[in-house]
Amino acid sequence: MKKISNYIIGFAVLIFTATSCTDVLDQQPVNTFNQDVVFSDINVVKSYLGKCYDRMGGNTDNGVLGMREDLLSDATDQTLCIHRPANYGNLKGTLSPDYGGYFTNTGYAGFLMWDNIYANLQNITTIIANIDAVKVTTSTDEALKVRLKGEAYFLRAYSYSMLLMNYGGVVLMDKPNTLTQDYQTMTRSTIAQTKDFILADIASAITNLTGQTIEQGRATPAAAAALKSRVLLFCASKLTNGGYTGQESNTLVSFPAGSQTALLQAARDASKAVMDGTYGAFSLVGTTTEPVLPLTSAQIKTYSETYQNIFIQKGKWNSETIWGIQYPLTGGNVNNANIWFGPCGYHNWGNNDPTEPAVRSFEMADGTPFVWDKYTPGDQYLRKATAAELAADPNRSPYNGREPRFYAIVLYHGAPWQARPSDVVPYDPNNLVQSGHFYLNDEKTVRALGCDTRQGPVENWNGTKTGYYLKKFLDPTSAGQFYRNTTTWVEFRYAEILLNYAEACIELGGADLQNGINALNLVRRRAGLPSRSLASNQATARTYLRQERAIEFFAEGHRWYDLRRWMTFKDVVSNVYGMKVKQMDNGNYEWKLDLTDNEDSRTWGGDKYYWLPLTRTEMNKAPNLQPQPGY
Amino acid sequence: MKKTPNYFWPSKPNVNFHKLLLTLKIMTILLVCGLVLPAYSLTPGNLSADEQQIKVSGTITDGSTNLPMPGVNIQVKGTGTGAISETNGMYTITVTDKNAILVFSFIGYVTQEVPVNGRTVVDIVLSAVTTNLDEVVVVGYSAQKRANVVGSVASISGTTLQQVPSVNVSNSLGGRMSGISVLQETGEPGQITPRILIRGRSTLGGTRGGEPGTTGVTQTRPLIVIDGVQGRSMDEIDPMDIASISVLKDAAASIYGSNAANGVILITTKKGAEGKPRLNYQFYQGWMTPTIIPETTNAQEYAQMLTEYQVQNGKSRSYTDKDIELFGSGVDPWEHPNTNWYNDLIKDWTTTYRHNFTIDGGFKGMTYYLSFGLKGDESMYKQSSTKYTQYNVRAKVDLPITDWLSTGIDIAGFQIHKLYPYKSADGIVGQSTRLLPTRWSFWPTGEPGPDIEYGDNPVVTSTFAGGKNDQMTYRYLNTFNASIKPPFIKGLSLNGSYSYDLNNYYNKAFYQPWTLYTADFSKATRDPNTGFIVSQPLTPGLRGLSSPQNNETYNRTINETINLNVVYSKKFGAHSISLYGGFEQYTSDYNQLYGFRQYYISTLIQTMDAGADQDKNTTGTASIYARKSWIGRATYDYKGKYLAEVLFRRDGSLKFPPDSRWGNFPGLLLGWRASEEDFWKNNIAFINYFKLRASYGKMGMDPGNPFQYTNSFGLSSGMVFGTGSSIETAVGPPVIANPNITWETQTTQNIGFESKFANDLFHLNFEVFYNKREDILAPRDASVPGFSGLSLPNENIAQVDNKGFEIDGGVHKNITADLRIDLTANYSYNHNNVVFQDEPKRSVEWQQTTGHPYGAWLMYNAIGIFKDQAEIDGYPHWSTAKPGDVKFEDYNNDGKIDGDDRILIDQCDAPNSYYGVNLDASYKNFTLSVLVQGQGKYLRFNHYDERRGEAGNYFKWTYDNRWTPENTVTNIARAFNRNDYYWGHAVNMSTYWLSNVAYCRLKSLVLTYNIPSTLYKKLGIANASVYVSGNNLALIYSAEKIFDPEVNGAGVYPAMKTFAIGANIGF
Repeated sequence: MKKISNYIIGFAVLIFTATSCTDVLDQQPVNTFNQDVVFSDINVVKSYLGKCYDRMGGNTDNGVLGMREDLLSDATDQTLCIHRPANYGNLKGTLSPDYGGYFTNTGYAGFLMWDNIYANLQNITTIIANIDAVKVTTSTDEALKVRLKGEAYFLRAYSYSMLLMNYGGVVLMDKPNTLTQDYQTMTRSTIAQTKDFILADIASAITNLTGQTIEQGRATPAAAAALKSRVLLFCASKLTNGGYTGQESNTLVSFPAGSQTALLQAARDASKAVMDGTYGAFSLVGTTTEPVLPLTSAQIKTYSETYQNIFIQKGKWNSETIWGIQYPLTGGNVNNANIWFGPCGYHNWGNNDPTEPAVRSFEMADGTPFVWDKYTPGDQYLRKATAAELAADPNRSPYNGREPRFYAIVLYHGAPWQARPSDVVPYDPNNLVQSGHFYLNDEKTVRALGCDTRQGPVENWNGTKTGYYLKKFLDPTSAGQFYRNTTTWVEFRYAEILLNYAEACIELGGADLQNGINALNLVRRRAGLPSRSLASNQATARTYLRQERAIEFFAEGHRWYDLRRWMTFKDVVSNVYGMKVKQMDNGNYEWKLDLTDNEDSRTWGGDKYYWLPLTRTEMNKAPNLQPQPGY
Repeated sequence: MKKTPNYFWPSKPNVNFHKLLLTLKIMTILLVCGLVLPAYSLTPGNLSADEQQIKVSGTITDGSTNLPMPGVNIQVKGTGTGAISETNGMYTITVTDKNAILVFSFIGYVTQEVPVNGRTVVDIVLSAVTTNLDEVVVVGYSAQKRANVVGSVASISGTTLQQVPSVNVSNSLGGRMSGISVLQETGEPGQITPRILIRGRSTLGGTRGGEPGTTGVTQTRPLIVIDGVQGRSMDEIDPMDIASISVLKDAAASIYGSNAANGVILITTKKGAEGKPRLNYQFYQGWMTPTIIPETTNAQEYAQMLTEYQVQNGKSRSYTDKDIELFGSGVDPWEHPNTNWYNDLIKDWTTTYRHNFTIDGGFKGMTYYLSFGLKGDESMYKQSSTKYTQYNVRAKVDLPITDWLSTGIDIAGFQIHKLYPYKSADGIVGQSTRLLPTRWSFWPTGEPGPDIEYGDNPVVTSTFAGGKNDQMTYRYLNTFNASIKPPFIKGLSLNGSYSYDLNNYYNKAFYQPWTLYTADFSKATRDPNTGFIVSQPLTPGLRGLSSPQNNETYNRTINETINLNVVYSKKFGAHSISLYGGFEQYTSDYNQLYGFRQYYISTLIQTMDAGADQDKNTTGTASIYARKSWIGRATYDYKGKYLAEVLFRRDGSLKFPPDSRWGNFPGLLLGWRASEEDFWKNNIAFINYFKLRASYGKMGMDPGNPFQYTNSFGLSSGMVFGTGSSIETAVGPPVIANPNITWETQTTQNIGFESKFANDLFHLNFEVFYNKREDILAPRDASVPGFSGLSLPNENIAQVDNKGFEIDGGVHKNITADLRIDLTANYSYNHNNVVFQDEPKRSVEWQQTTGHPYGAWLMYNAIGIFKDQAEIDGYPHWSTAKPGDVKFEDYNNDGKIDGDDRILIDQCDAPNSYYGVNLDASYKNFTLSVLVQGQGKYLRFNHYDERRGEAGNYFKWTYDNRWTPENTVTNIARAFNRNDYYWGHAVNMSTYWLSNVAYCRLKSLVLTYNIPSTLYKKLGIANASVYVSGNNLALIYSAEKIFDPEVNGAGVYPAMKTFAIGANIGF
């Protein structure tokens, strides 16, 4: 009996031990921090800020800012997304509060998304609100704290400027939001208030960042100043200053009447401050002396490569780069430019093809406009040249004698490109892009289908739809089918500052006009083009400027904002047709824009499309949010 | 393409060899055991008797398991003579009349009367009574006699499970019990975790079942408890080791408290029984073929359809009329191939197999049960690359130390090996529906053709040419228990158990470049007459990866469970009570390590250190979970007539903050066995059994991550800063805390009856339930807009109601002495309804999802196809509409089609109704078991992905009877391309893309022959049987051509039809 009771006592002890000793319920998380921990250590705050960088741009598919599979320029006249064109609702007449396409993440990925940008703003603002209280002991950490705060201000300014440039005036918050806040009654601020909020953040960023040693890739005073130049130029535009008929007094999307001159001056001065070296020394890469015409083919190659190298930089950035995003080969954010954009005959996916009108907009190497019907006046669709004619005048080929940037940006039929993968060598031992077909001399019988076409032998469903591929961001040293790109996405570069300055000056006119043309000419001369002479009238200067921005920033995404700022979208939206090239065995050629091959039907939905709609879901959740005009 | 000539064995010789070796080993063990053990255990009976007496002997076996049955009572009818069968199932009895009748009886089995008819050997197969009142049902922390169960508890015995051979247990559950639906959403070997719903869903969350490429299981998954331990996997358990499965559907689940709201599945494994060693070997070999393969267009049809699209939309044609003709004629395979990718990828037959070997026995109160199992499932790919192999062992020993103390140990080990090729099943099977039939899987000379992208040609990437994904799982499940029965308090016992379950998962994914061939058309030799290519050079190229790479993942999970309890039961006259009180603690600890290296110089050395040092990657994570619980149960019954049960559980969870950590979960269950009342017996005695049951209980659910009560900042990789290439570790963004987070709570009400008529000839059970789930974790969506920037935490705000009923009935009859039939059927229906969720007000009320079942899908209602321009002009449409486009309903009659016209489509999450019909029949030495199962309306997405047209093949159903200028009156739209048609599912989802997958199928059929023991008795074999079986043999279903109604769509590995043979031998 006694023994039994011992067992029972033992049993009871066991229960007691199991229940009281170590309480398994009172453990801390093993794989996450909580907010108190984050703001107790400046290095953890730094990592938190790192996540904010990582989510810039409001994108969803790992692509930070502009580098992604389907480019923002596909929403413009410059390029065509061959895989998912329907997601660019602004070109289809389908953009609405119910359907935002890429801008609300319908279907596939998405970018510049309202919700995502605001989510990042909440994080950035949390850092700004809490960083002052982080205890640091060393002076190094104290400096780090100031620097991180400056970086946070830059990121906030950047995020709000994305919102401003797509939605106009938006809801502004300078404190982190809480769940219990009343969102029902909140409203959007005016575009002017939004601009002021951004400028204040830029000022804070510059203050906190000045004098710091900052690693490449983090925000700098110059990046903040460049952002200021960009935002002010947007604010000074026709769209926001009375150009939007019927909405001139809508303060969400328009500045008060009479603001434009001051805004232009501010934009001019912001750019000038960067040009003056206030935030560090930046300069265009390559030479900016007046080119001696005609350029030799070696010179064209040099100019072209100098320009292209800006977009395939690795390691330490060049003198033109103000700020950008770097991509690793493994882990982290993904830059697959080569496989995304490269020709299908390299086992790449051929996306973001330059359209024919965009290709035609490149000038000739002597700075004159390219004229398609130069040899057969009046025929805008067909060009032919015999071998003999080409020998006598190589410029009968539309791809010959063009300005150097053309060769950095566009891959056309016959353009030299990377060594072919071993399995494609049989089709193309010469490493020349085959976006056309090879014919017998009868000009009717196909001898071989181009291996970069949609009829070719290699992954042809990824073949170009326009007859061209986008070369600009492709790294010639990387095999896209196997490797990611490690090249930098350049978000701010000095050429933008010069052209922002030029535009502000030209729009101001008068005494500023010459300064504007001078800045523009720096960019032109670097590209190997002759200077523009001072245009006596502002309209001509404006034409020059717009041409230069279109080419210099081709496919970088600026076009999305430029066409809206200038309100010229409606003039450039048109169906996309395929360029068909026939290369005969005897050396004769035929280039034909095939109007029977409508690769993308496009339509412009009216002025309301100059701004993105707020989604119906968001309006339902916050009924006092003012809707976007027109929707 | 060529067919594999040998249907019965996999094509790889080394696999055959391996299997052969194993089979040999097993056979050797069997032989040894078969020869030695029976000789040891057999005891000669006393055969001397006087001349007038006839000695009759024979063997008694269990009809479902074919195991010998000891202890069966044998009586000579009308006399006092009797005998009991021995441990090997043998009996000897002496009769004085050659026409005597023997009566064989055993509790829980159908009594049989057999005339001797002058025979001296009478073998008998006894079958279990399926609705036996004495059957012991496991109800969670204890077991009760079926007659005394007051909860809604469905159960299935191990013998029934083993009767229907199947490679995994979960597959055997569907259709057999009411209230449980099992959706096995893929047929891929090794992917065996099904979506199980008990009484449908009573909560939000998870994805709709009908959505492309998703399965929604987490929020709706029932709690699975194996031998009293949570966190064990049901997928791999050896069906032979199972003694019983119970499913707690109503307040009976309250005993599992915070994890029980989705129902509880209890699995109990076998233990040994006293007696001489009993050996049993079971063998199963099956051949499988896909039930339904999604049909795609052939080259000619594809080219025709693509051309129609291109012509209608003003695009240049990819194929000329001549091309289309050549694709059809097949005379020009070099330039106009007609590839059927699916056919080139798969063989007609693949195999599945199972071997089990068990020994049990015991003496002096000590019992043991040992089992060894091996099972495997091979893929349908021609190269048999995907493979699932499992070994399992189990040893259970119960050891009485003294007369008041007993202990037990139960150790089980599983080794699960899954092999997959470089590409996932989705990448292989799904892509096969997309690849163009106008391209080459193989060149006419036999070399593999070019790729689709990323080097992917599935006829190669489905093999190990690109490396393999080698996944090993090792599970060690250990339970130690002790029980004290103090002799001074009768009916009291103190019990304790401790389990330590260790799961190791190791995945080595070593990938390498593979070879594809490219043709050089410019160097082709052509037939001078036809112009067709007769030969051309092919260039091999390494594709896919630039160099070999290695990904290794190592996961370790340790789950520990401690349970201490006190049990007391006592009878006071007509009153019986039992009490259970216990404490339980469960902890789980998970750790992961992942490494990646590339640029291997050779594939021969595949260790991590053989990879290059640059561009490598390592990562890992960890998580913890813990729960403490107090558990109580009290039962009372009066003469077995009035039954009552009170359940209580108090759970504390690590997931929640201290203030809201503890939750109480009571349950009350009442039963009245009215048929025991005198008035019943006197008036309606033909209903010989009637029990009325009612229950009310509360239980909970704690889905989601722990520590949601603090702002948690996770870790991830961030940006590259500086001029190097290293990535900074990033922290955040935070998940906003919900400091008040706690359980979801569900109240369950259930009322039902069980009845038997005409002396157990019929049975009919019915129950109706109402589940109300409150405090469901959901974000506060309506009031917090996107510009708050907050990633909303889950809060306990939503409510879902779920109602339904279940009915099951059957007839059980011995038609003759030789023929018995059990025919049962069950039908279940449930319907859920979202009562509250914080939903933003929609601009039109019909889009408000609150009030609809969970998973209602907002889409346009397709009401036909525009037959011509006149029809377009006569009905609201989008500006881009063309003849042949899908016509959307102008739901609000405002003359235009816009977002407001979208409506909610219910029944996209799971079927509301499902049923099963079972037939078990035995005739002499044959038994037949048939299961028919089916489901009611369930709408599923009938396409795979948007990449159809220029970038992918069409499904055949979009080709057949499609709209063309000549065929205008139809319900199938015109030819299309990707998402650049407005009615595409990726852009504007509509009902056009849904199919009803209501179905009824012959799920399984097993015919067993029990070989008469006279044939092998002298060999020492106690019993032997052989069987043939089939699974998924026949199907009635409306969307036939598209995909099997049970799998998750057209892009997943198809469901399989299985034909099998098997045998069962006992010693």
